[in-house]
Amino acid sequence: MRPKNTGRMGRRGFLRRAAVGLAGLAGLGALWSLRAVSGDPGREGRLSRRRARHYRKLAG
Amino acid sequence: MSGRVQCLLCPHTCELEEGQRGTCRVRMNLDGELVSLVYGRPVAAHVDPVEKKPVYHYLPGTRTFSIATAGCNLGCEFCQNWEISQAAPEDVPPYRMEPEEVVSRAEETGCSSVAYTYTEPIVFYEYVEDTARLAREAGMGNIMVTAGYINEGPLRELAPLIDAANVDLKSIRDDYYRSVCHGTVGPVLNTLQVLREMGVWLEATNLVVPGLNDSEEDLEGLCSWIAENLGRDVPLHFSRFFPTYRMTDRPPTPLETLERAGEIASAAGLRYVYVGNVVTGSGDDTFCPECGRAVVRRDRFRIVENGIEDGRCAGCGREIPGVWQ
Repeated sequence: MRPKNTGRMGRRGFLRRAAVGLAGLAGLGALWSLRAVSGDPGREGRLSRRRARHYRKLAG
Repeated sequence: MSGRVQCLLCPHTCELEEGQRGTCRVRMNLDGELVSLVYGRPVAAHVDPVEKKPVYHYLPGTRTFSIATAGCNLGCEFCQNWEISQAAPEDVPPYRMEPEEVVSRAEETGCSSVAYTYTEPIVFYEYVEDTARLAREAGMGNIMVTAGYINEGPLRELAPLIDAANVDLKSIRDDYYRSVCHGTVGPVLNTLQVLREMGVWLEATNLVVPGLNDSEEDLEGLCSWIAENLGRDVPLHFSRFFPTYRMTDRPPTPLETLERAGEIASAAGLRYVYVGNVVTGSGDDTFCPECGRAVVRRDRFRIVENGIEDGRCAGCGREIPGVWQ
């Protein structure tokens, strides 16, 4: 049995859904940038960069 | 100039492009050089009884300053410390603790040794090496609790600084290592033999997982290998499995299975067999193989009675192998 809402979408319906989708993406982007700024900018800085032993450089 | 590098520390021998990290997540190609991202950055630092490692024949009743960084070069699906062992180092807030501070804190807290444990000390090799050297100079011992997945060259360089090791022999079967731990058994067996040969006090642990490595054949094979290749005096700890991380589809190891494992080990000739991760009547005690007396009685991590005098059973005088003082 086919779901009920698979009929053809009108132009207005399409535009409304597209607007909702874009708003959602914009919201996610805002959240992401918020996380990047206020999350923990020092995380990389926690790492050491001590030269390791027991490795070799590969040619090419 | 940057370029590719190959890490030679462990059997994975990861080949890394600029900016890439190894399987361990903590060793990275930075500008064509291999760097450790966790040197001096422990994510755990605790004072533990040495019995917790578990190491039962090395300075019983003493405390050991225990450290770990993020990372591991295996990926055991039952890992009890997966939150730190399987994490990238930037995802677990570390302390800043250079080797000098580790040793001074160990001294301040009355520890007799420093233990490299909880995750996999092999992946923080340089940190272990520098800390162990300072600890040795300060008159303290060094304990490594490891899965033993390391290449022989680096192991032989580190071993002279290590006083005691507990190596987790997860199974005697290579297919088990490949499917459950993302490694191979050969290098682990080699590590056990090299440590023994180099005079490091050695104990082994086997996590008994229901339905995976608890068959008679598996347990007999593992115990026989230890007896034949390491000797009957190497203590073996059977550890109880609890469902965790990616292995939540089976129950904890039944106590009967652990008892049976102990019987199999004794039948294989192993003289010092213990059962861990579970409260048992006498599974933590050390028995004299000569007179049967409980020479060291333990209540979990606490020493209740120590009947060893000058490395010998106080009852019959038989030598009990280990580092007792």
